[in-house]
Amino acid sequence: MPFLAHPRRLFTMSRRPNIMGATEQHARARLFARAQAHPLTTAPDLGMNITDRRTGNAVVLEVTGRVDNDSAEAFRLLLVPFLRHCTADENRIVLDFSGVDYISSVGLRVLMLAAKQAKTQGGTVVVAGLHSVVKEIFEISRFNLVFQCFDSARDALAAAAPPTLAAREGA
Amino acid sequence: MRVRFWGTRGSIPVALDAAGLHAKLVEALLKASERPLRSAAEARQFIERELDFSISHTFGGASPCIEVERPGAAPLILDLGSGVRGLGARDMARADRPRTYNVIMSHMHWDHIMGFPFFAPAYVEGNHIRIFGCHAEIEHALRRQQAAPSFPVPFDRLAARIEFIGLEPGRRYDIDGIAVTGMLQAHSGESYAYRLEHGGKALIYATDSEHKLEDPRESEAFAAFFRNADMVIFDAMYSLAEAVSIREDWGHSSNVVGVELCQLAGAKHLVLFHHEPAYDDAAITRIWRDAVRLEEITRGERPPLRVSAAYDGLEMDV
Ligand SMILES: [Zn+2]
Ligand SMILES: [Zn+2]
Repeated sequence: MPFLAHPRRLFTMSRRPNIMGATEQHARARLFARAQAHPLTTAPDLGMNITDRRTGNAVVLEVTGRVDNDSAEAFRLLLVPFLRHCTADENRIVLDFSGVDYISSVGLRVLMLAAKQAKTQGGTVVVAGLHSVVKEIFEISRFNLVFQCFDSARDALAAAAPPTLAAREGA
Repeated sequence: MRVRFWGTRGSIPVALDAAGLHAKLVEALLKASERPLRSAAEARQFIERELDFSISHTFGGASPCIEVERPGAAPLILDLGSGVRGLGARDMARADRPRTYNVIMSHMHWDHIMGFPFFAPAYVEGNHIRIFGCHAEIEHALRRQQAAPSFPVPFDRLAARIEFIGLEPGRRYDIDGIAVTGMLQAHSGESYAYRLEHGGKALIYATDSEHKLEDPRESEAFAAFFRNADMVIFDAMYSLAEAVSIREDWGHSSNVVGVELCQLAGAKHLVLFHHEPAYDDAAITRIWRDAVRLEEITRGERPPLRVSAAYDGLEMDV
């Protein structure tokens, strides 16, 4: 890895407090309530949806559409309630990107912030199902070096099962 | 406008070392052994056509300096990095006559000023050097770098007439027939991008600039500044992953953001610049190829955006 000799360090070196304004707190609460009430969380006018599915100690978020400069803020807000409960023992987040057609730098930054927040709470955010254009964008931006990427959500869940996970993290 | 790159490396000058040259020779010789090369012309052709850029060339290691040339006008120099030494040497070798130089400064970090004490025309009486820029400390920084004990010749002993002309960001100035507008960028100690317009063409010089990606208005402001530019010279020092994590707040940007901003702006040609000193020619080539590929896969209905990586010695017309 000529660019990032120790990519795992990324999440530990640059911790920043998660400062949220009052409006954001409200949006967060509203979205959390919505996420609890409806399995489908959506920003349809922005061309992006998230569906959540709980499996054991993980939550799979199926993202579909485009995570671009217009929808990235909605994507960030939709992640907030899930991130809040993402810890070492439960609610590890698997972002299933098999339905994502495009992600911009602003969207990738949201992923980076999400991963950092999860890490400070002892949790993890991984991505799965990257394909075609999005897979290439991960490689070009070198996000493939700093994110755990799995071929499918199923693979990500298998890896996240506690014994396997421990082995992985010790590697 | 003819754009000539004298220095394209960021932060600190570097040189291709013996091991790097050796590795290139090994690859070239192996590739050449597949066929006989019977003349210098055949060898040149082989180098140009069959060797990868990272083997046949080097991006060079001089720090930022670009010359914008127009027939009949004084050269316009963007930044006084170590690359300006070569520019000065070229002019000293030409027939001696008083010359005028117009210089525009992005900011005052060492890599953008360190060439000036070695710019020979500054030592020639009769020459006139006009230094423009939005940064508040241009004169102070250039004087300080030649003050004892850091340099043997104090600034006041330079024989050329040297003038400093402050610019305000957002205002359009005429500098010897080129319309110049500056814009503040996010960078430690402040840096400025410039839009240069002449003969219906627009050239953007936007180095040492971090794009935070937090506020959509920031991207929109840059897209407006880059609007329909014929060439955008862009700080692509880091990968996006680095720029938003370990190197957040280090004041630089990526090939990915360069492509996106040029797409938003409808710019025609992106030139990657301010290469990371730790990267070898293969790494910079990879960053360039990645940017070319990103443009291809995200182009959609837009007209194609040309993507180049600047190297010391590159010349292109705008
Ligand atoms: Zn610089
Ligand atoms: Zn700088």
